[in-house]
Amino acid sequence: MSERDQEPDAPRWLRLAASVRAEPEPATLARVRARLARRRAEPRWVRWLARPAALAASAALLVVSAWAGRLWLSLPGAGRGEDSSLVNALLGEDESYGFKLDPADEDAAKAGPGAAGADSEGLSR
Amino acid sequence: MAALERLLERFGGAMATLARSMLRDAAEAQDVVEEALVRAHEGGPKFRGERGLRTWMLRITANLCRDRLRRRRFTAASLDEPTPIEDAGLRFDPVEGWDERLDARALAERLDAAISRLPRDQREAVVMRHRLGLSYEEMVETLGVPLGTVKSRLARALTALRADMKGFGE
Repeated sequence: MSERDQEPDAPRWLRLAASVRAEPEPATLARVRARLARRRAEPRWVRWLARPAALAASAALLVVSAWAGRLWLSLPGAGRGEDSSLVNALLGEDESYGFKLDPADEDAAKAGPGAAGADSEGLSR
Repeated sequence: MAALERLLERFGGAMATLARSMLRDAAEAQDVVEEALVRAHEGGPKFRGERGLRTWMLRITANLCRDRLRRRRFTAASLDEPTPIEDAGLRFDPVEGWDERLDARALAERLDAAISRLPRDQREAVVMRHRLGLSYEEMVETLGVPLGTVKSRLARALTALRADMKGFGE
């Protein structure tokens, strides 16, 4: 190689880098043919999934669906009717939001702080 | 398929040397060579010939090696302890005109270990330039970087190798 000879500052031992080589295994060709045959047997879409384009396409799909969802939520009244909120439908019917009191406790609460429960009666005496 | 045979015959040695020098693992390097040949076969129609066939094949091989090395960062595999030449699937072929008084094999092994300790981009440049004998132009095409980058990688690699080979004379 003529260019390398133009590198006068290269140390002599660097020439030994070229003394280390490798050859592919003898069965390489047969293995490559087997790989090609396997790939041909795969459906096209499976091969497409292994390509970087598949990753890019799924990322683009994610961005588009996030954008569409945001747009849908920003529409006036879209999906926000009185009956449409899942939380309201499930918990808010009686405005207890899942913390409905026992009817007896409810009466005690209505009677006010003077009406102590049976447990605290002894203490107040 | 005959084209595949010709590709392997002409470039198989260079591809295997590059892959084994970079990965230091014979089995993984063999896998890379096979995959590179498959990709070349599949991408054959896209090859427009603006680059040499050799640089194209080596470029595919180098890219696959980079992918493997990137993946290795997430596994326990490491190059902290360089493997001996034979363990990496490489072999020693004495160069012509070497001074017989010096133990070329011991020196080559020491140099190989020093090369395998270089950072990935420098190792790649040294292997391509000094092991495979690529010209600067071929390296620019194979690595896909500007000429200045190729030269600076080689210069930094040489500085590191000189430090590692201290005491072995020029």
